[in-house]
Amino acid sequence: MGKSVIKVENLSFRYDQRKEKEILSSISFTVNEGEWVAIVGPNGSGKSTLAHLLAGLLQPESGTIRIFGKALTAETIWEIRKNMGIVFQNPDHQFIGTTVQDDVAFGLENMNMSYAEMEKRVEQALQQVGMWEYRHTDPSHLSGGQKRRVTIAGILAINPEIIIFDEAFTMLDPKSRRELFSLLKEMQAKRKLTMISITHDMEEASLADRIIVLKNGRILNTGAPQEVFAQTTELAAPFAERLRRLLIKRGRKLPEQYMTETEMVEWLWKSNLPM
Amino acid sequence: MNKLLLGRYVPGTSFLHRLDPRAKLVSAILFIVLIFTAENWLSFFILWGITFGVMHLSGVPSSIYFRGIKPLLWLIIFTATLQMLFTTGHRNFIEWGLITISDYGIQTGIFIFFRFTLITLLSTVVTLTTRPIDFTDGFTFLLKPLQYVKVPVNELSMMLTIAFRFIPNLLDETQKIMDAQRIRGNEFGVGSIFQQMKALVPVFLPIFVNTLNRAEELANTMDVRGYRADQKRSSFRKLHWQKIDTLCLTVTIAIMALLQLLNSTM
Repeated sequence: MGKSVIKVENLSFRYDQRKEKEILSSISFTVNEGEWVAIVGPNGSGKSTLAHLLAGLLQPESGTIRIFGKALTAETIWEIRKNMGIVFQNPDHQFIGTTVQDDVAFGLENMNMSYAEMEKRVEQALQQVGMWEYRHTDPSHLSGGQKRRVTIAGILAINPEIIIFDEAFTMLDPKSRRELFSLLKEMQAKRKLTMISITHDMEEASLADRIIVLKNGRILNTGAPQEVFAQTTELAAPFAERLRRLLIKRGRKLPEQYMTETEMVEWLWKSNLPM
Repeated sequence: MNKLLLGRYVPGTSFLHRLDPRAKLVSAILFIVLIFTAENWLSFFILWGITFGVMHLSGVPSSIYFRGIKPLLWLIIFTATLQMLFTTGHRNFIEWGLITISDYGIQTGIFIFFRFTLITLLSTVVTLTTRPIDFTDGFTFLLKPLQYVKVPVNELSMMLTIAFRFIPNLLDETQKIMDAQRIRGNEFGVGSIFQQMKALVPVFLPIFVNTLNRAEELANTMDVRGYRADQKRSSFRKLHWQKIDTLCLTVTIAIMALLQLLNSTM
């Protein structure tokens, strides 16, 4: 394994100082260069808070976050952000530009980059995600998967070493989700990208090199996906997955593979139709 | 909702669409000055001609212009009527208490009607043929000198860009929420004015909540993507000043000079 890129030590956080309950209590982990780490856990486990802390959008109550060996502070944050990108859940809330290419250029403009260089980077990034033909389109006219591709292009353009995905793929249909995952796998291999994906989608998590399971603000388990899935009974498989297992137990004929919630719903409402 | 014309761009390829926003803005401002200073029938005749000319050039159907001016028409008529009723002149036709209708009053009334109508039409031409983002870029460029007196021009421009960018989203969202409420049996535009207002409460509340959430997420995104208001930024969008723009400005100035001449000789 390569050197560690992110090192989190004894990180604790509370939104409300008056309350006892910590959102994150004394979490420590490291992420190595070129590694894809999935942080999973039920709602309220603190995983989104962790993403915001890593992005410097929230201040930790105690503990340190070191990125590229530098402690994350108000002084270092801007330097670190030049090498880090974050994708949040709803793409509609993240577009700043009125055309696809304007939006991709936003991060570059902030770096006060020359026009020639921006032009090159924007084209490169859009080609990579397969959205170059749409460069003059208004982002709001794109489909969910295309929007996601554009937000990812905006981040690839700044050429970051770390990308954090905060529930970035939850709102997508299974097909575009799979397409994006293979794109990311490719990107990770080609560019030595370090990726952290925060998710409750086990399909997404199973693609990672390593999974960190959070529960009630603590790390419950960590390891390769197969190990984690086998060991951690607490790691409730997604609702649809549990339902699928139960239905199979009762002798219903269901597809063998993992189903997303939408697929499950699709299957359920057709399940009693005479075939 | 579709009556709102401000910031509503109608895509096209006309000569006006292709003009640099700076040329368009400066010309429009100069024409507005002209309209305000015009004092005789001939000037107004020429200005009407020019306005109809540019409306025609824009290639936008005149029904859209009419829709744009309709909500303002009553206000304009009201203002013009006030002028007519309360201005005294050489010959007073009717005198009844405070109300006097005079030759001068009638003329001022008509001129005021002309002025407001012409200004509305001309500014509509600009907004209909300029993408909001180009408008913002032009506006930012023209305000640049104010940076020297510490006016945060770039921040203003960023705010405008984002505001324009989210107008369609807000409209879509409003429509969606209204549909959702309609399904649940809420009726809009029915009953007394109070009932109508009450029916809008469940629409506005979710819009406010969504807008706040969206603003927060957008701010986070901008932060993470390295936006700092106090730092110098480069710009990916560029404005291209062409011959056609110089020509447009020259024509505008020539018309100004001509009308000035007319005013001084008449």
